[in-house]
Amino acid sequence: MDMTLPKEYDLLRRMIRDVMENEFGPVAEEADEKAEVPFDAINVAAKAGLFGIPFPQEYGGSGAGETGYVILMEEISRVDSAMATVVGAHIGIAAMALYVDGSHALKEKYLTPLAQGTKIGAFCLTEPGAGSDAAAIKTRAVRTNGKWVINGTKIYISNGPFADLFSVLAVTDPALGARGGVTAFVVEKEMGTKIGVVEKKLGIRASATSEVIFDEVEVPAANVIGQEGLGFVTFMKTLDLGRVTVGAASLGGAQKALEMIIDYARLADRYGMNLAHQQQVQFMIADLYSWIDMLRGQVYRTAWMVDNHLPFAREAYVCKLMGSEIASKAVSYAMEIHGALGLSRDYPLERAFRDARIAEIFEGTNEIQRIIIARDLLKEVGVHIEP
Amino acid sequence: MRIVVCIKQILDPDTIKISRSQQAIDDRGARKIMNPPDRWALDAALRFKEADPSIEVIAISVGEPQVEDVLREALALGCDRAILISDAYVVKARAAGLAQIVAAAIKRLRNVQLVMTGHMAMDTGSGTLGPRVAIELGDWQVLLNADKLSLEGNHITGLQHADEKYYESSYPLPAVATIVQTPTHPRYAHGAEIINAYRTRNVEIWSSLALGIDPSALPAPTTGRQLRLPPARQMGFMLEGTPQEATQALVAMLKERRVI
Amino acid sequence: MDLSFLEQLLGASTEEEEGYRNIWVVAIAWEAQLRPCDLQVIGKARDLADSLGAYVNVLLIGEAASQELAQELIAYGADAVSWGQGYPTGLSLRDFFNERKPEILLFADAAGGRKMAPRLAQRLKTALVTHAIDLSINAEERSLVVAVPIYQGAAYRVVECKTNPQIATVQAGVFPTPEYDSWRSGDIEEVELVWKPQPPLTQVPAPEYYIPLERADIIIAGGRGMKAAGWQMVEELAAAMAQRLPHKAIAVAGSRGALDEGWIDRKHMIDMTGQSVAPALYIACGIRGTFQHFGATEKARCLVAINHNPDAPIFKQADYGIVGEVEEIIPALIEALAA
Repeated sequence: MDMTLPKEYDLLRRMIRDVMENEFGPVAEEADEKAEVPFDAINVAAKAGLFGIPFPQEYGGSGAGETGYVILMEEISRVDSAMATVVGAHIGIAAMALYVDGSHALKEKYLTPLAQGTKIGAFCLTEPGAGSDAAAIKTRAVRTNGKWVINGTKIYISNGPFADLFSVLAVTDPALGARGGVTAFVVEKEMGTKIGVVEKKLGIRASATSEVIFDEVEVPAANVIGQEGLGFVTFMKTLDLGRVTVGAASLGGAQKALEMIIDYARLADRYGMNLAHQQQVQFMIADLYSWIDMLRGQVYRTAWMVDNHLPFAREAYVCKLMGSEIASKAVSYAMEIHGALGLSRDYPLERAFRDARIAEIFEGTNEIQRIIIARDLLKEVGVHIEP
Repeated sequence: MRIVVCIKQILDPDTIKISRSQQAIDDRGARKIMNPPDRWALDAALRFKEADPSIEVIAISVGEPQVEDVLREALALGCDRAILISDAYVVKARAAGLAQIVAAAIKRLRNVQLVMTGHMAMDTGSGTLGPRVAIELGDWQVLLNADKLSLEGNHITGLQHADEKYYESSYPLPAVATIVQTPTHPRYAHGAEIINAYRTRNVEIWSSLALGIDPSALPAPTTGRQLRLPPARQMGFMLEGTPQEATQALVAMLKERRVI
Repeated sequence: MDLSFLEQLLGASTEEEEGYRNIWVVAIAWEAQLRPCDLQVIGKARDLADSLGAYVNVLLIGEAASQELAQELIAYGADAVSWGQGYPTGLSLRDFFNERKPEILLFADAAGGRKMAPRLAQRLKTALVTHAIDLSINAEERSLVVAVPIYQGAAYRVVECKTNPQIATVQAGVFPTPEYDSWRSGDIEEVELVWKPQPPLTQVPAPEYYIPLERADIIIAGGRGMKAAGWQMVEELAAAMAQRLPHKAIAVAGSRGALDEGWIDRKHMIDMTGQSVAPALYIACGIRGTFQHFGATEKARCLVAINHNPDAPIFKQADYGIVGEVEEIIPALIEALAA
């Protein structure tokens, strides 16, 4: 068993870290303060291929697979969690839905500009009344004159305000519901999508989240992703992949928090403060290190499974669940150790603290992750739990 | 025409540690990187190529086989070719001999009009490779320690920093240019090019014999060297006396430590 | 001790002996003046020559080279000066030194020497030590011992030259400018080398980005303690430092206190919530030294603290501390720097 990453991934990681530290590092604080997406930095990132790392080169990607993608998310989160949300929504779910089930023609037309970063994607699943319970969506698509007409409102859509392309889930046969009556579409902004309320957020403020409203939006029949009626399957497969990278993003954030803790302890020691010598602090450092090291193993193993076409859904749930909780723990430990400095809005920890909370919520709350992991395990011994 | 960029792999100065007990540099765990000024030089060469696609940019390095990694990075950044001169003899070459080896490779390539490199290596470099290579190539002009380069007609022009003043100077090709780092970050490699640099592209390996160099004729290193560490910092030294006495003692101590 | 003056009185000649025997320095007359960096090298060469029992010869070139400047070089410590107006071709420079056979050949690590020295070394296929910060002589071997910084000053490499000639370039500012002694005398000759045309140089203003805070060699920082003295005193100290060290990048900054007082902007606040810096020298004037300030300055290679409160934490972080009122200490320091 060879657990070393091929050398191209080292260089890929260094390039991503360079882009993040040089382009996003200097602007992240102001972008958060003003709740503005740093588009100049995003353009540089797009030019370096950061918006298409996992996808094949024939569709404008880097061909670095899921392994490259977890490296990307880990490195982004070290510097700017809001950017991790922008990229995660773009690659991890919006473009990924096209990649997992789209036809070659559809991929050429839509995945390519997404992977090149010339167009930004958003993933439209959540609705009022259909959050973690995705099967309860109400957005309706009706076939008329060889086209689909979509009506409905999606909420909490990451990248919504500035996306050019939307992967959308809509009900095409209410009688069948989630089991054969839901279809995935790719919708262009120019087809008539509207942006509703833009959320004001506690964290990930330099990413934009809004309602996306479909009011008689006409979509060509060719824009169906995968097969008509099987959209729920497409979206669930996509979310499985997304969970791995929530874990990867959490890994980057947690690692950065641990590094900040250790550096602070070192500084405090040199300043003459009795911090590193407190066993309480040592325990925090040791626990965090252990959790992060196990998380790293889990995230990279799962990415390896994805790249080798092995079933990975349960591992992905673990990545998302443990990753988000370890990251929250890491920043709250860091806050504790940094004392008042941690609360300063001029020090990056305060932003990391606000940003960390979302990872436990989006892409299925951690409660849902727990229920699914348990259900899956119990099913193996014959205990079926109905939703 | 061809532009050759000379690239050195160095230990990242930010990742080396000092061992006082051993009076040595502790480079275990140090990262190997492309010498940063060389990266700026490469960036300038690639900008010339963007403006004139007929220009071919070739990266050259000399050293152990693992130096290949910086050449793959050069390929990822956009070089057309990368050449590693590596054999048991060249890895021992220093200064004068190194310049002879690099110049031999440049002559072998033909139609090279411009040689670019960083103004110095940030590890233990002397900053002399550029001017030395220029001599070996037959007394080429040297644009030293420059930035804001432009290539117009048959001239290389750049901003030079000399004696706290800045000059714009221009030299006819063929020439050697050494480049300083500026706060403007050089280009980033595209993710796909990074993957391809390892999976589909090739670093050419040349040997001194193939270049027609007689290794025994290379100048031998002519210096003995040892390492010395700056004295450990002693914190909290208080200077007493009148303001005049204290500040005079301070200036003397700062001079002694070569800080001023 | 410099006995060359005495020898000249006794009628000894300053002609070179057989073989590689003397120290040569190449100096450049730059805009009708001698450059301090060249004079510093000559001053150090004087010390080395005295310990070797050798002479200091200077080759003075440049468009402004003249008999008068050659005479000045004698006063600064040269035993003999060869001068010529212009810049010699590489070949004629090589031939000149092949004929004169210097044992040690020194250049200032500045414009001119930076390019000439490696080109000459390559023509002679010999070693060259650049960026020297110290020079001494190994008396047994009669070899030049040179200290050069490596890894950006984290350590020094001590190199012993074993070639003929032993060539080095010396950083500006590491040796003092020697005293001018108008009583010194020596031989002056005008030499005819093969001169080459210099490409025209167009001086341009310094690009703005050249001295950002994080690249400054020396930072003079003030804190709330500057209130009584006035902020301009910090600027005056920086100006005095710049006067003394024209080749260093010097910047003014402040602590959080200085920001609160409105003396500096946010980009110049040294604090963990602002800028972190790593200069060779950081002088903290009237800064108490909070933990956040410490975190932002700990990479400074030398920290000097001036504060009226002997219990201020800054003194524990400082290499050198002076307790006293800033309005008394800073003017004294400015005076000491000018001396």
